[in-house]
Parts: sequence; structure tokens; C-alpha cells
Amino acid sequence: MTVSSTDPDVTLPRGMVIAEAWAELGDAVAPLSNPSGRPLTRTVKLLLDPLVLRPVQNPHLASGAVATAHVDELRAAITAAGPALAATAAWFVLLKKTRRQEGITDGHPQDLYFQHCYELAHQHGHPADVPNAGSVAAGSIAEIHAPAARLTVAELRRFVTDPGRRTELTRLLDTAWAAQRGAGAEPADAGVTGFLATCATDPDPGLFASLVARAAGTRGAGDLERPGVARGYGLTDRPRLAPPRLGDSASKQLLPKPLDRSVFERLFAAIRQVVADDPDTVVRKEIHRTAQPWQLAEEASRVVMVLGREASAGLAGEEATGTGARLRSRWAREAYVRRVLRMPSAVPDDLRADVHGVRGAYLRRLWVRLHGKELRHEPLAAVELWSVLDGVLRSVIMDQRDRLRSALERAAR
Amino acid sequence: MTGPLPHPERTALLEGRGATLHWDVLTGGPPATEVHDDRRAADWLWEIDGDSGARTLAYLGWARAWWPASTVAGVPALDPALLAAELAVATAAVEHLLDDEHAVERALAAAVGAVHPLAALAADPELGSAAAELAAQLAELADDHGIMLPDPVPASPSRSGFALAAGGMAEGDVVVLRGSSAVDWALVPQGTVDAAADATWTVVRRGGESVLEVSVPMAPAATGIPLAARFGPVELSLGERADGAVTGHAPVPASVLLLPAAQRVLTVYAPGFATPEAPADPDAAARRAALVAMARDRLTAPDATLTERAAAR
Repeated sequence: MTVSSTDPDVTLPRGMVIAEAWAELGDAVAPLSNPSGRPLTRTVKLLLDPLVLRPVQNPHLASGAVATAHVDELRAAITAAGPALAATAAWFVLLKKTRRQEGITDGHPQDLYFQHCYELAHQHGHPADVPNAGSVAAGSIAEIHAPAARLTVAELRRFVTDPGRRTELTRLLDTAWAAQRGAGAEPADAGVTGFLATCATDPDPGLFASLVARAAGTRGAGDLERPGVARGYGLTDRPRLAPPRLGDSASKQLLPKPLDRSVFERLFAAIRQVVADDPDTVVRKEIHRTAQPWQLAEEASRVVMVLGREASAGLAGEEATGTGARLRSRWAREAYVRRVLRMPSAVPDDLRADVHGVRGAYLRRLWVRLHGKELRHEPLAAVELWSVLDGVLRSVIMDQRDRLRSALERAAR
Repeated sequence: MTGPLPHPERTALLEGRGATLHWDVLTGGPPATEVHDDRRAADWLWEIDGDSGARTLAYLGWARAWWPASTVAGVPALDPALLAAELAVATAAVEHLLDDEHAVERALAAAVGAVHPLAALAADPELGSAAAELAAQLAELADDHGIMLPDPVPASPSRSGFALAAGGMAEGDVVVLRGSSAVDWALVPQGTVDAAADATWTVVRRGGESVLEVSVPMAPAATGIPLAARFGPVELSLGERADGAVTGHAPVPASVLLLPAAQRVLTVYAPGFATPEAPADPDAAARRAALVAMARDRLTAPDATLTERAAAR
């Protein structure tokens, strides 16, 4: 493989440029590589993209094809990060070893440690040069696995079931919902269609920012107030949206549709995403959120719901172009893939609604994902919206496959 | 897209980011490529060549779906746990180009049970070192992904032989009509029904009644998924397992004998898996015979997988 050209119009696959630059880093980064010698998916997602290449700031390094003019920059960025990545890899090996010694089995080591190891690499350099590397690693493991500075379900339940507080929280819920927004469907914002047209290939950050600035998400939620509309989107089983209950119990298997969930159920379902540790703030914010358009707090999230609604229309058989056509093609392909994988063609009862109403399953999962991002205080960048919109459908599809498989396994027992 | 897609039964599929690759397991050669997203696919399509790790993963996926275990054709069943272990390792090898970013965890979760058969194979003079290597790779992967593997337990004694035959023909039965039909692979899960044997049906007169008897040869090491059959207008469930076959019987109106031959067709299916309506598939017999022959050859192929070699012993 050779990566060199002087023609300015020529582009090279980003993966190829990265693979070559990565290969030059050699064995030192093996712990961050897969057996094919490529950076692991998580290495790209957690280290290369956010910390080294930063495609949000450097969009010319983001796409699947890199112009030759930028190839050297991409290679140089990886080469320059080489020592830090080698040190990161060494710290990762050390942290994994410490984890094993301490008998820790929680969580995904790559997810939990990669970025922390990158910090260690910057702070201390390579662990081989750090005399007390072992105790640094032990300290890191202790810090990462410290019994949560995070809200637990038990704390949450204790908080909402306190009788005195319950009255107050219920009143807060009533007040939040008393200030109801007006119903009414506005004509779709032309910017929504415009953004979706190139969202997968050349997302326009300026257009996304202007959709957020002119509250296209909030305006697009007016529709939900009309009877049956939110139910048609699969977000509720009720004909009209109603204020949620405060709630004090939840079951993972029996969660209602997102907008029918009690305040407690919403937080229960997303408890791993809650980064705050103070139940008071978390619950009050959630109460407030339930009364907002799309029942989401951030305008960017609401805009993404509007984008998702538009893009998923093709899943329900409507005409689709751009992003919508891409989603529809993924879903259309799934029927063939299931035949190849010899998945059941008979769909069990509990799955039928999701398979035949895939758009509803899609919008539910999109809502849950955006809700989680809000709880994590994670921003939404225009360049990653296609991976959100497409990733939600993939996740719906993989979930259906898992459920089809386990139904089959149950039957075989 | 390059080239027509092969029939699902002969397709080794790789779901890559932005493109799917379809190898035809009967012909070899380069895969048919379907690109859905140029940019994502461009990241990795350049690295696909003849004998890539991607093809290995796709082939193992084919084996999980379509391996034609058959007693009559001499194709042993593959151990699903060993296969899952090989799938997990093959998935990890090419995880950077897969569509599903959680593919490795998913594959690992399916493979945790493999530690037992791998431990049992460790002492095998021929397969021991390959088994130990696969076990080590699996352990390392599990460690990387924070998945706990159980401690291996000694292999349980192999399954006892088949129970004695029950039911079937009784004295005094008069056979009126009999025939056989191939079982459509698409209507039953992998590893249920013998992939090469026909299901047989018999109409007997017994005590003044007409009774339809159906017998379906099981795959070696078959799973216990419920089966049913349709014969003309008659539906029956097949519940008795004996002698390597699953059988069932149902009273039928004598008029069943008047059915035109085209309707005296037995359709076997797994009710939770498929409905017994399948379009006519005139190529099925030849294609399936070729797949059975291919599977038999695989057992002794120089590049046979550990799962295949273990099955061939």
C-alpha cells in the first residue's frame, strides 16, 4: 500500500491513511490495535478522533476520503501522537493488570480506561519511565472504580418516596405542566429537509446551528399536541400526551413507551447516564424536562427529534431521499440479511409491533438516546448526527435480531 | 454492486461499515460487494483481498446458519460453542470494518460457554494445541472487553444413545399410501432436521380409521425445537422423538386418499420459526446437495476450522 500522490483532486480513504500511519507506530501500540493491526474501533472513537484528529474542529480530516493536500497533515498528527499513544497503550496494559489483581470485573476496560490512560500519558509520560507507575495505576483504578459519585436507583427511590418531598415534587410537576404550550402544526422548516439532504455526506454545521437558533425543534413539536400524533410516532400509547406521574417503581422488562414513563421510570431507565450525584437537581430537572417540547430540555435534541421524524418517514413507506433513503435502504436490506443468517421468518408476538412498526421503534430509541445525552451533558455536533440517526436504526435492528435469536433458543429448550 | 448476490443458503455474509460483502461458499472467488455508504466503505474496502480475515468471519457465520448436519450424508454436527468461540475471535480480528460497533461484545457473550469444550479438547493429541490457542485468545478478548468467562468444568459424559423406538407401525396396520418429501431448510432452524434425508409420510388403516404417520429424521445432536407438519389440508404436530427421528400422527379423513398427487406433499416446519408457505424453489435440491457435499469436503480440508476438525473426529 502506498499513500502518495501530488494530484490535488485525488482523495485517499481515511482508513487507509490512518492504517498506514498507525502501522508505523509499531508494536508499542499493539494493546490499542486489533489482530489485523488496525486501531481498535474504540481507539478511533475514544482516542484518535476526540483527542488526536478532532474532526469537529478539523472537518477536512473527518470524512471517509481525505484530499491529498491533507494526507500529510493526517499522517503527521498520528505520528506526532505516537509517543503519547505508546505511553497510553503501556498504561492501559498496566491498568488492566491492576484491575485483574484487584479482582475488578465491572465495566468495559477499554471504555473506562482509554481516555484516562491518555491523560496519564500526558501527565507522566511512559510508565516505564515512572518509578512509581504501579502505585499510579492502582490510584487510577481506585479512582475510576470508586463507589459511585453517581446517583443510584436506591437513592433515587429514597428521594422520591420521602412523603414531605413527594407533595412538593408533585406540585412542581403540576406547575411545570400548567404552563402548556399551544398546539399547532407548523409547516416543516425547509432547513430540516436541507440539512438531511447532505447530512450523511457533507453535514452543514452552519445550517444545524441555525435550525437550533430558530428553534426548529420546538416549533416542530407543536404537532404532538394534536390527538393521535405522538401515538402515531410510537412515543406513547395514549391518544393525547398527559403529564407523567412522579412514580416510585420501575421494571426493566415492563417500561412503558418513553412519553408514558413516570419521572422515576425515565431516570431509572437512564440511571447509567446520570452524571450528577445529587438527586434533588436530577429529579427537578427531569420534572422540568417532561413539560418541554418533545419532553427534552435542549433545543439541539429537539431539532434532532424533528430530523429523525423526517428521516424515518421512509421507514413507514413514505417517499424518501437523502438521509431518509439511506435509512430505508438499511431496513430494506435487513429482510435479505435475516434470510442469509437463517433467522426466524415467523415473528414472535412480543416483537411483532416493533418489526411492523419500525418507525415507532426508531423514534423511541432516538428519544431515549437524546435523553441519555442530555443527562450526560453531551453536546451534539452536526458532523456526528448521521452516526446518531443511522446508529439508532442499526441498534433497533440488532436488538430485534437478539430478540429473535433468544425466542428461538427458548423454543429449543 | 458487483455481480448478482448468491442465494442466501450459499452466502457467507460480512456486514461491513457502509458495504456488505457476499461470498458464495460453493464457488469461492471474490465477494459480490454492495456499497451502501461510499465514505464509510472506502475506509476499509481497499484492504479486502482473497483470503482475508473478513472472509473467515463470513464463512463461520455461514456455518452457524446453514451447516447441513446430516446422519444419512455423514455430515457431523458442529459444536455450537466451539463455533461461537471461533466467531468471537474472527470478529475481533476485523472489528474495525464491521457495521456493528458492539460486534465483539455480542460475539463474546455468545461464546462464554466455549471454555468447557475447549478444556475438554486440550488433551486431544491432534487438536489440543489449536484448542489451547483458541482458549487463550478467547480469554484475552474477554479480559479486554470486561467479560467474565466461567471456569472450565470437566466434560459431561457424552449423550447416551437414542431411546428405544416408540409408536410407529403396529400389528394389524395396513399401509394404504406412502411417500416422502424433502424438508425445506428455510422452514427449520439450523441443526434441527437431517439436512439430507427426506421426511416420510404413511397413511395406514388402523382399527377402521385412516391415520397419517409422519417421520422426520433428526440432525445429529439436534435441538429440541418443536416441529409440525402440513399434509394437504391436515396439520399435525410432531412430538415424539425416538430412534433419531421425530414422529407424529393424526387421524385423517379417508378422502385424503383422493387428493391429487401434487397436494400429497408433506411440509415440515418449526412453528415458532417459519410458516409453512414457501415459494417453489426448483434449484433447491441441487443446491442443497452441493452444500452437503461441500460440508463433507470441509471436514478434511487443509484449512478446516477447529470446529470442523473437532466435528470430524
